[in-house]
Parts: sequence; structure tokens; C-alpha cells
Amino acid sequence: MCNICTPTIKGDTDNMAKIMIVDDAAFMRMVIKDILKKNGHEVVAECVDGLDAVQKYPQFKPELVFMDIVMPNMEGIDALKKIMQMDPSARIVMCSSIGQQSVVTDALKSGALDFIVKPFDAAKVLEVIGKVI
Amino acid sequence: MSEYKDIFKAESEEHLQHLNESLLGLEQNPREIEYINTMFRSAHTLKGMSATMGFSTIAELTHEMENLMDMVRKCQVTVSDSLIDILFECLDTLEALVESVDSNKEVNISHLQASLIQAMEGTICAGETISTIANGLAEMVPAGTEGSSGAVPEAATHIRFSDTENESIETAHEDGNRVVEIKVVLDPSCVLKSARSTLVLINLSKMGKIIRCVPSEADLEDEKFNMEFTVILATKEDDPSITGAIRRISEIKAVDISPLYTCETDGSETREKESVEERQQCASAVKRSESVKSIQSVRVNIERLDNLMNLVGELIINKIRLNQLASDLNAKSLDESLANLDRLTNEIQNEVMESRMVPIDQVFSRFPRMIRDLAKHEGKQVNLVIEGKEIELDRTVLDEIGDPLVHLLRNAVDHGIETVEERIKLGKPAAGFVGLSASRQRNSVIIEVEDDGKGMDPVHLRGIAVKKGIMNREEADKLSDTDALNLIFVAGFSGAKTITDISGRGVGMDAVKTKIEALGGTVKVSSVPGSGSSIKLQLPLTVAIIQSLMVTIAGETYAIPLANVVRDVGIKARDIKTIEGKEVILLRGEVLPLLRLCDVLQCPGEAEKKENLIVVVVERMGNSIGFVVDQLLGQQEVIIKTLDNKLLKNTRGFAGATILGDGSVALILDIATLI
Repeated sequence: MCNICTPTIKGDTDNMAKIMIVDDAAFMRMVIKDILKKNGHEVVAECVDGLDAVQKYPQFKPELVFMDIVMPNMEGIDALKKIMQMDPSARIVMCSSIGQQSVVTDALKSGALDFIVKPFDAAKVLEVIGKVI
Repeated sequence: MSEYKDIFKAESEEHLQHLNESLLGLEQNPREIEYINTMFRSAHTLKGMSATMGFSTIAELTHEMENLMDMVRKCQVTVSDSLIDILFECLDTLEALVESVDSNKEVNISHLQASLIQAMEGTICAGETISTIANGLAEMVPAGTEGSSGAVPEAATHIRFSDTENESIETAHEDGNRVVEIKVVLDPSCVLKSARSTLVLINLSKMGKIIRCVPSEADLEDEKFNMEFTVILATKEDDPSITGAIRRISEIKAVDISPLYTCETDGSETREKESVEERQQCASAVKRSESVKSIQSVRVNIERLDNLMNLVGELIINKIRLNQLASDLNAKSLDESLANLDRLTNEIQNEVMESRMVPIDQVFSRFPRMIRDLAKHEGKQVNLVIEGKEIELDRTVLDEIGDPLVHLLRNAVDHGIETVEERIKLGKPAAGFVGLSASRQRNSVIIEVEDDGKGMDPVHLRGIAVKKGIMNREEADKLSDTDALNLIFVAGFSGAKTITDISGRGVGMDAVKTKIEALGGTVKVSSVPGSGSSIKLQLPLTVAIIQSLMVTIAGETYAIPLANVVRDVGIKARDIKTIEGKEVILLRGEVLPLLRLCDVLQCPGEAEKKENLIVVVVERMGNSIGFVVDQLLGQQEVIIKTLDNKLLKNTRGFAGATILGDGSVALILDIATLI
């Protein structure tokens, strides 16, 4: 069974968050976006790489950023560091795959609030949002 | 779900293309780090996507590839020919896997995994068994999460503190802190344990000073622990706020806090504040980037574009009807709005056509790999030079030209380019040249495939034609050199002396020509024996709408594609001559065969014996023929509706049908099959 076919988790609509998604794969963006939208969150921006994220962050001022790690142009970890420099209160959650312990650890040390591991399901994503916001 | 699948497939194909291109690059340039990085990234992205979709086989294979590329990146593995071959094999398998995601077909990848692991020389990173990635998180849990296992000390109750640690505890105590022992148990579904534990440590360090971790921080980072670990923390916070802080982290199963020392006085600032201050200092130094990229393209399903094209077709048909009605009714008041409608529909049509255009690179990009494999297989050296890959074509045309181009390129390598030894003997460079270029000429695109190989000898071709019984010696000798070259397009003609498994099955060029002509294009061949051949394809930009000459035959309206029409002439029946039982007419000194369409199309009713006949001269591949028609109606744009249902598919003579302004249907004549 596929991990993304999780039904809508009963969400707290009061806790609607403005979220920015950073992932070079349109597919992954769509998966996360669908989970978020179904549960009452607003996706304010989608970025195709770290560079894009660094540029869009000040414009959209999202409450939460989902940041992929391996991306062209600028990797997630560098984008994280740049955004944290711009806005030390930025809330960034890393989206990692298996096998990236060290990068995730590095990201957490650099200010990422949490991480989710691909393949992620709706419950995990929402749990993380609930915890960091 | 299928929505996900579509985008998954489309994006996977893109990544496979990147992988292919980079691998080709890497083969030429084994030290180029950019290729290695791109491959690593693409494999990685594919892994994440496929695992999310639950396609475990793809996830497993890409995981191994990613590992391998990582090792290449770190110079732990060197790029060798065999490595490249294995990776190419992986890409082929991945392609097949992505292709077959709908069918759930099982593909065995164990031999590939074995090769990959072998390539990594047994240095594959421990601790990660790929088979578990996509099978869900539950399987990631090591056996026996409850209760610690031998090697790693888990229970903090027996911690022996070093002198420095004891000192820290004392200082903390003096500063008014309490020292607590915090036992954290991770959730069994936790995948990146080390990162999770790091997050716990980071959060705790904001609340005080970490004196000691069991296991050590280094061991935690290396995942050398089961599901639980203990932290000794000097803090001013009370137990509930510490528990709360840890509970805010996901994937935490339990937190247990017990005091080591207690203290009641107050003390100084926490680490959190310090770190925030540091960050703010940095922030002030950073200049914000102001340019923002906006979304420049959206992905649209091909079906939607096809539907849109169809709707535009219907719209144009209705417009034509409306125009006709207005002129029938002589309604002058409609003129202005009809003219506007005309302009708008034309604009829509152009926009829709433009949106269906895709760069020809989508077809070209798979050829470098094919040529490489082919050359390697035949022991030849080939340089493929591609030009004009940015040229755009309607995707219907693009979809169709892939196979013909494969044939032409295979022929160029297989029959054209000589072996390295032969080439050196002939004084040619060792590596053969194969050129593939696209260019735009008004409303058509020219694609040329050329090589600097042995070329084709008209004398030799004539010989083959005679030997194969296509014509007798006398006929063959009459052929001009150009006509002799065109023999290669005749069905059943194969120029290869020996039939290889790659080309030369005698169907190739014939099939190429049929396909291109079905698209409304033309094929031209030229060759110089000893120095190479060139085959030029001329293709229309789009096939959905064509300019036609409308004619009537036995009371029915037909459309003749204007591209084929040379001119129309009026002739007298008495001028018709008969050669070998066929009607011909002498026109400007040339013999023009005549075709009475009412006979060919078996129109009902007795053909009138008229003295004055109208002939439409059409040309196809240098062959001209005159169609005898009853009446010329004029020139018109028609929308092609293909006859692709089962009943009509094999009808010869018609390229399709179209709906006319008055709502009636007219058949479009297919010149290629009529000549």
C-alpha cells in the first residue's frame, strides 16, 4: 500500500499554518502540498531548489518551511543556513531520505526544528507541524 | 492516485534522461565531478519519489546507485568501463521499471544489485539494508527495542563520572542549577535515530548544560544505540517543562526524569538566549536578495492538449459554418463580429498549436546513448554531433519520428561508418562522424542524418535491385543515379550484404518513408560513394490542420492536401493517350499519368463522357500524377479527423476526414497511397 494514500487526519483548523515547500521534485511537492491542503494548511510558496527558497523566504515569510536536502543549485542545508541568517526565528523542517543522518544532524545543529523522513505519510507530517508550531 | 502516478512517471523520465546524459558524459570524462553530482542527485530524488509511491524495486535499485555514486564522489570507487556498463544496465532496468509501474510487473533486479555491490568492492555502508526502505517504516525497527542489548551501555544508573564531569556537576550546583538524569526512549517507528537524538540534545542544551550522554554523543551520532539513551543535564527548568520540551519533538516514546542533585537558588542566562543573539548578529550582516522567481511553466497532461486541439478544430468548423450562413443570408450586420471571431479563433488556434510544440531534444536526447551502445557493439568509433535540438515540433509529429530516426541512425552506424582499421586504411579519421541536425524552414522542419562513411554506390544498388527481382537489368540501367539511390526506399530492398541484428532487415527504409509520408513529410537521400550519405526528412510543424484544395468527384467533396498540389490544368479528352494500358497526357513536354479518381474510389454511377476535363497535378517524392476531378471548389483549411478506429484503419487512399462548413463530411485524399 502506498504511503501517501492516508486519509485526512482530523485537523485543528484553528492551527492553519502558512507553509513553504522546497523540493526539486514536483512530485514530492505535490505529495506534501496535498497532505497540507487536505488538513487546512496553506501552502504559500513552492520552491524548486535552495536558491529559490532563499529568494522566496523573505517575500512570503512562511511560518514553516519544509526543506528537501539533495537539490541542484543550492542544497537544502545551505539554504537552511542562509535562511537562518536572514531570520533566526525561521521554522524549518528538513525532508530527508534514509541515509542522510549526518546531513540531518548538521541541519538540526544549524537551526532546523525537526525533520521528516521519506517516504512520509500524512500523520507524520501533521505530527511534526503540530509539534513545531 | 493516478494523478500522482502521471507526475511521478513524467518526472522520473526526466531524471532518467539526466542520468543517461550524465553517464554518457562521465564515460567521456570520468573525472568530471558535475556528472557524478547530477547522477547522485537524480538517483536520490528517484529513490525518495518511488519510496513515497511504494515502488520498492525502484527505490532499492536507486538506493544502491546513490550509494555507489556517493562512493565515486568520495573517490572510494574509481570510474571504470565495467562500472559504466553496470550503471547503463541499471538505467535500462529503471526505465523498464518506471514504464511498467501501471502493470505491477515484477522485475528481478537481484543480479544488478549484486553487480553494484561488487562494484563497491564490498565497502557498502553497514547498517542500511535497502530492501527495507520502501516496505514501510515498521520494518526499520531493529529487533528488541525494549531492553538494551549487550555491547552498548544503556542504563545511566551506573554512570561513573570523570573528574571534569564531577566538577561540572559541582559548578552547576553552585550556580543554582539542578542536575537531572533524563532517560529518553525513541518511538519504534523512528528511522533516523541519530538525527532524532541530536534534536533531543539540541533542545535540552537550550534548557541548560549537558554534562554527559550515555551512550556518548559520538556514539549517538553514529547510531550506536538502540531505542533509548540518557542525558545528564544541569538546568534551572522544572521537570514538566523539560518533559514538555522533549515531548514537542516527534517520534519520542517516553521521557523519564529523575533528579541527580537538586538546587533552589537562581542563576544566569540560558544558552538559548546566547544562540539567538549570535544568530541575530549574523542576520544583520546578511543582505537580502530581492529578485524573486515566479512560476514560469505548468505541467499539462497531453490528453488535455489533444482535447484542446480537438475543441479548437470544432470551433473553427463552426466558424466556417457561421461564415457560410452569414453569406447565404447576406447578413451584412454580422460582418464585423464575424471578422473578430475569425481573428480570435485564428489566435486561439496559433496559441494551442504553440503549446503543443515540444523541443525536438526530447527525441534527440536518447540517441547519444544508442549510438554509443551500437558503436561499442560493432567495434566502431563514432562521434555523434547533434545540432538544433531546441527546434520545436508538434508533439504528434515528434511522437512519430522517433522510430524512423532510430532506423536512419542505425543504418548510418551499421552500414555507413567503416571499422577503425578500414577508416585508417582509407586515410579517414579513426572515429566516424554521424550528424543529426534539425532546422526550421518556414512551415516545416528539416531533419538531416548524415555520416562520413562509405556512402552508397548507385551501381551496386542497381545490381541489388536486379538480383532481388525488383526490376530487370534493362530497367535498372535506365535509372538515374538519384533514382537508384531511391531504390533503398522500395519494400523488400536491403542494401546490407549481410544482415546484422541491428539493421538490414529490409523493412527499415521502406518503413521510414511510409511513416514520414503519413505525417505529410518527405524523405530525400543523397550519397557520395566513399565519403558518406545524407538523408533529409522534411516534416510539417503540425499534422492536425492542413491547407487543402477542395474538389468534387461524382457529387462528393474531397480534400487534397495543398502541399502535394502542383497545379490544376484543363485538358481535352481527345488529348489523352494510352501507354501500356494506362492513360497519360503530354503536359509541357512531359508524360503525366492520369488517374480517374471516380474509378479509383469506385464512385457510384456512370462516369460522364466529358470533352473538357479538369486535372489536378499532384507530386509526391518527385513522382507526378494527374487526378481527374469534376469540379474545383477552392482552397480551405481543414481539421484532420483521423480514421483510426478498427473498421476504417486499413482503408487505403484516405488520410482522414474533415467536417465542412455546411456540416457535411469530406474525405481527405492520401496522396502517398494513391500514387
